Amino acid sequence: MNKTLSWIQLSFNSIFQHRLRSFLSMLGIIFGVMAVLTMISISEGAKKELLEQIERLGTKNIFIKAAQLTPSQKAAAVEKLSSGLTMADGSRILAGCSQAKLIAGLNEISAAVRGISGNESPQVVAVSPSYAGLMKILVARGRFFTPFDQMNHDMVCVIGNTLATRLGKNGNIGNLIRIEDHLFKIIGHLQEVDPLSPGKKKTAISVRNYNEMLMIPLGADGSIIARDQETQLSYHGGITELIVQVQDSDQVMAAGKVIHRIMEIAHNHVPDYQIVIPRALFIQARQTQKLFNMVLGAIAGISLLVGGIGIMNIMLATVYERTREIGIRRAVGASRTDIVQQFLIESIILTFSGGLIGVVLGSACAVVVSRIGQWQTLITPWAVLLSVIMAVGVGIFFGLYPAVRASRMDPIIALRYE
Amino acid sequence: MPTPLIQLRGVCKSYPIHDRRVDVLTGINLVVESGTFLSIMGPSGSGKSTLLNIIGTLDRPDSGEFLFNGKNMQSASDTQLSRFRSRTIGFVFQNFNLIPGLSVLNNVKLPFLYASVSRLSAEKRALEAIESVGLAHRMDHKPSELSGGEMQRVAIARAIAIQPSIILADEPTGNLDSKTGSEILSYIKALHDQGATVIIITHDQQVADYTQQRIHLLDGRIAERL
Ligand SMILES: Nc1ncnc2c1ncn2[C@@H]1O[C@H](COP(=O)(O)OP(=O)(O)OP(=O)(O)O)[C@@H](O)[C@H]1O
Ligand SMILES: [Mg+2]
Repeated sequence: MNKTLSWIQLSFNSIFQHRLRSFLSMLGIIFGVMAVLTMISISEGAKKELLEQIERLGTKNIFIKAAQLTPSQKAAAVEKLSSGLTMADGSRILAGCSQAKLIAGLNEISAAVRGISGNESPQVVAVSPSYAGLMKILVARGRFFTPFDQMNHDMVCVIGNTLATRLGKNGNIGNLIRIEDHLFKIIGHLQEVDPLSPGKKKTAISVRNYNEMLMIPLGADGSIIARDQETQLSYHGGITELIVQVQDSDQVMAAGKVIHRIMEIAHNHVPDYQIVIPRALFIQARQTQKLFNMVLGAIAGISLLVGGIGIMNIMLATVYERTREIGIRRAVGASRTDIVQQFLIESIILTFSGGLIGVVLGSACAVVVSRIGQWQTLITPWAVLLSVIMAVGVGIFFGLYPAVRASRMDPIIALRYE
Repeated sequence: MPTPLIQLRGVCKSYPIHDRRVDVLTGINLVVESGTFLSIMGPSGSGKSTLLNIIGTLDRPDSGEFLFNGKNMQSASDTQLSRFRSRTIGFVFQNFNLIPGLSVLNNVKLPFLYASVSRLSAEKRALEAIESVGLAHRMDHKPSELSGGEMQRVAIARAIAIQPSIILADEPTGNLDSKTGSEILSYIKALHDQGATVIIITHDQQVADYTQQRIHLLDGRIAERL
């Protein structure tokens, strides 16, 4: 222990004596570790973001979205008697797919909400009472819709937290709010949710920001839309999104296939819908991740190899320069093992310091990337640990040959070396 | 009769030079009792340094035996020999052989690193050794800041700090003027007076005359014993 400590001190001395040279030889390791850490943090950030989104969308959920049709497709749809996405599709799925347990519908409505300060009108959606349960939406005050609200086409609404704040006193439960020409009674406020950083990479289905939303029961939307001259013709109980929940997240892929077939038959092969399974997105993302990891591994390998060669080079030079010193140490009692340890410790200190600097720079880089690139990045402890361990590993691997070479020198020749 | 400290029996050593072997030592027989002051003389290239290095276990003989306290060192491992050197042998070289990057104090402390002596006692003994050669005021200097005589005194301090039983000096005054040289010799004589076994290679007849035991090497053999 005493010895090791002295050697660490000695190594620092020798490294500081050749500050510039040591620093230059560390550059390879520094940049290698920096690159690896930055890339791992980007990859981890992307994974975390995706996981959060999928978690929010629900791993047990399957989304069926109404697709926008081109005019010619629309004509074909009419010919083939496909009426677009409706709650009837939901009933068919519940009947035909044994794994499907719950369904919820959602209809996006473009309607103006009156009496709100600020210029942005909240998004209005009509949803089934089961929507809150499926999407894990919690109510802060008041209550969510019940099947009765839906049955009676009650003119009630639930509003998001931010919206409630914006409305001020008018947003209190029990007050009336005007949507187009209709008055809706506010019956609940949603709990605030983290709006999730709006990722640049749009997944096939994005997470909704409930904080700014106004929800009415599905069915009540008919009255609004029916008055709307432009969309009057197209209103027939259609919805924009149907969510199917299965019992267990493992069943989601199998259920997806069954639903696909049911929908195909029901819609007579008209592609006026799109099925999205969040879990499948995750599986797909994992494939991409695998490729990314391979590229990452290759880059890490190459940069560490280059860094290692730099270290080996400098250690060989050091050993050569200090030939006489090695002879002296041998004469005063250093064994071969002592010499190996001394030079190995020196190269480990070099790569370890390089690794630490790399970690600092890599972390800074990850922060910059997340600021400028708007990518979420995540620096995990294991990534930092891995980087440092890799750096130390490089120090041992590439320092071993010079160290062994030093120890194999004939002490007598070394002592005479000029 | 007690076992002598050092015994050499038929020690031979040759070096390969340009695909033929040059015999440096050809059958050396030598006995050195504990506490002896031995001088080795001989012309350049006669193998004096080679012999001293074999005694100091920096080199191994090709054939023949080297016994220390009756124990054959031939079969000892590198680690064992290193341990042995660190505890038993103090070297003083003609070209001083100090480590340029280390201060005087750290140079003198060097042997303790390999002799598993506690830090505290190493520091204390190194300081004592430096004081004994009168260099307390140069403690933190680098070797490059010292005169030749001072460097050799540091080397002596390094050799004696660990209190070895054998001091091996290879022309310790060879690079010094005669006045400084005799100063260095007086330190070495003092070590002998304190009970150390000293083996010194010298070209100086006066030095040789002072020693109790003298050998003269010629073409790898002991030509003369006094
Ligand atoms: N490692 C070696 N490889 C080859 N030849 C060597 C080696 N070491 C010593 N020699 C040769 O062995 C011979 C004896 O060398 P050594 O150093 O023992 O002589 P020396 O008596 O100490 O001479 P000097 O008085 O000049 O120091 C020389 O001819 C030298 O060239
Ligand atoms: Mg010599």
